[in-house]
Amino acid sequence: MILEAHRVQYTYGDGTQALNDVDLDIPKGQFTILLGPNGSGKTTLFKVITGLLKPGKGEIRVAGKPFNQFSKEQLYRQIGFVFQDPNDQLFAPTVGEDVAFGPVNLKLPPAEVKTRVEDALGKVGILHLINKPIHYLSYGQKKRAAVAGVLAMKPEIMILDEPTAGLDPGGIREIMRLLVKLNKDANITMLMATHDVDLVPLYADRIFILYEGEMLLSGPPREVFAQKETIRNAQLRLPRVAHLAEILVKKDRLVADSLPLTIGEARRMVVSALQGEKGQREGKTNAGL
Amino acid sequence: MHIQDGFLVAKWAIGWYGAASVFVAKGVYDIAQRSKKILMFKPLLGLISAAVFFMSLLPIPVPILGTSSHPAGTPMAAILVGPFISTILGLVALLLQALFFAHGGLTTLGANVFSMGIVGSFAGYGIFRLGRKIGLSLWLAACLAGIIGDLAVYLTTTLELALGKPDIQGVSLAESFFGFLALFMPTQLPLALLEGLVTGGMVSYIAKVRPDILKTLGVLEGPDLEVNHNEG
Amino acid sequence: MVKDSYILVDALAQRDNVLTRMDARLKVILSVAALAVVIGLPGFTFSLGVLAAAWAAILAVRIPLRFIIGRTLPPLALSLVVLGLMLFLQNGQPLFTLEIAGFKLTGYKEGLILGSTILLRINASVSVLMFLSVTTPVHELGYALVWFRVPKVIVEILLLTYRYLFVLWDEGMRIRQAQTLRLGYPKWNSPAGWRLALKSTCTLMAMVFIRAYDRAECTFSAMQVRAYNGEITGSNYTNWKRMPNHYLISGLFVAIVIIILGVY
Repeated sequence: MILEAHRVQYTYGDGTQALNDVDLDIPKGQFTILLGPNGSGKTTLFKVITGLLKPGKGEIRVAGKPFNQFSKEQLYRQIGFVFQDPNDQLFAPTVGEDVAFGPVNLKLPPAEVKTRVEDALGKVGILHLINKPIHYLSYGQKKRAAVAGVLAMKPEIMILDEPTAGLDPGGIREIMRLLVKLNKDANITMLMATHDVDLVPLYADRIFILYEGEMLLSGPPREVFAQKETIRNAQLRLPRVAHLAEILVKKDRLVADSLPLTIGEARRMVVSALQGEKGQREGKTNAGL
Repeated sequence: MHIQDGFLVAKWAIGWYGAASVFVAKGVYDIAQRSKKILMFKPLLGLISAAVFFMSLLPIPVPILGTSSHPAGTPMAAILVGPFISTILGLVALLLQALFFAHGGLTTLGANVFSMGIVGSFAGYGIFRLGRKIGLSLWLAACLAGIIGDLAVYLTTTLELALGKPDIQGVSLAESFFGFLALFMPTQLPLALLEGLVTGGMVSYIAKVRPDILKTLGVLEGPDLEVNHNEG
Repeated sequence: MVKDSYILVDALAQRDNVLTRMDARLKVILSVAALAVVIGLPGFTFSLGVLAAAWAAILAVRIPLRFIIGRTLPPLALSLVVLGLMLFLQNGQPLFTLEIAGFKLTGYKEGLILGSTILLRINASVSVLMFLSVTTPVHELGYALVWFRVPKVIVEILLLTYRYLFVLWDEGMRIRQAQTLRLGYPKWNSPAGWRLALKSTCTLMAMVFIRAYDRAECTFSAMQVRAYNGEITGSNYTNWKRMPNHYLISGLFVAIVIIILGVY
């Protein structure tokens, strides 16, 4: 396990209990998605597991070692955190300097800082913007710059709060492709929060469902989405295609072993159903002759 | 009201730089000390500085005339972060204004920092604290701080102009001081009033919606920044 | 509006040309030296020279004429008023006499000379500052200032202010539009309308301040997870590769100081 949280509790100053006995375990190399509605405690959980908030109770381990055995620099070499609003993160006047902020704080030599900055910007595909001031960037480019700023610290695990929020469909596809690529090629463990259910089956190896500060479910997408009632009670829903298939099964006597979660699975299901029907119809025609 | 480059002779331009630098040095020292204790202080100050600068760029309605003007903002800044640090925020705003809007200038930066930054901050801060001590309401104390802070800026600027303009034969210092004073009076009096209304309105609105911010900054009684943010 | 000027100047300074590629430190030295000459030396020949040089430089990199005129007219008008005052106030050799409604006004030669000196000083300084602002992006100016030993803290606050003004401005304008849609800004020429508009303005300023405060907390968190240790400018990925070497710049600086001292 690269990151573990055990029975974590967090209560805000005004008495709101944001997290209640939350467990989380992230194996190395996986792509994990934390799914939860607005106000479920996703951001609080991320702030707790990145050391920004101190949990009231519970224990957090990074690479098997408890938090307090890490210095700040050691910890943030392991964990990278990308904030939801890139304007919060990008405070330096230009892209290059913002990305350099982390590596410089790690007290790396200037030549190493330079390579890391260029490398990170290259990986997210905005190396050409290195000398541009932040306010010249589009929202999508700002998100990439924010990812690069964390990437330049070469973390083992990257935690992203709603990386797709505020992006158009094209932008969502691009940023998700980027994250998958970083996960596969650079072998960075990914943990992201979202409430976009349709994204989950496409990308996640494993998902967690957080609702009102409690971890309701965890496991591979297929297992978790099989618990339809729990999902719906948590202000979430099934992916659109799964919902369609559910209705087809219920109302139109479609036969399915399990609900499809992606377009591809749905297509296979529909094609095989169509072929079966065709076969039946042909059988009928033959009998009539 | 900023003095443009060219109005002050070299002697006075340099002199005001010297006078301002003492206060700026103390402001720099204060920020350095506080950000050592409170790691959040610098980003916080950057954002407050941007917010006060934004405020100073907003047009505020001038009654009846239907036109608008801009507040100085330093009395407000001083109420929030204290007079020395507010001097630094004034310096930053003046530098950006000189570059982006050609308000003020570089040779007159010292003089403008002295009048708007230092005098504006200290007058505003002093009146606000005094007002609170004698039991005035938050709105009234901040409002008076704005009015008197703005008037103090205007008097100082007038003095700087009278002292620093090239010598004219047969015109005494007093004559030119009162000459400038009379010249600016009609525009500056309503502006001072507006600065007061805006400062009072802004402080009391923040106190109503987010009193925690004013407590954290030490404007209202309550736990201060160091207690709140040490654990973060 | 104000924001247009902010964005326009910024955009001009971001363009790629001979002057924007020049070392920011060199531009600062040149500008300061030019201002020193304009303000410090008697007579107006130097000012005229600086004015011409600044205009030539600005026009050479194709700064739009409309922008230049927009920047030049207000100080020109102001300096013409000053010229007028000086002309009649400074006693000396009479040049001409005007009679307006029974008043006798005499223009003097000394007044004309002093007035034109100030007029040229004002306009020359404005054009120097215009030169600096449309050829030097603010962050480069900031590093130049750090190099000139301006306290880092000031530059850090300057750069954060510059960066977040763009963000706060957009937020502020969204609030303002929402207020306008709900009739928060009626005409200001009635007492009731003015009061409402003033109240809306105060609310807007307070809201922007509150958001700035909350954003500071987020920004601080984002800095912390990148191992923030209290230094902002210390982390600059400054590459002065465009620049001539430090010795040359220091040499130029010393030379200018000597020239200025010599003229005095």
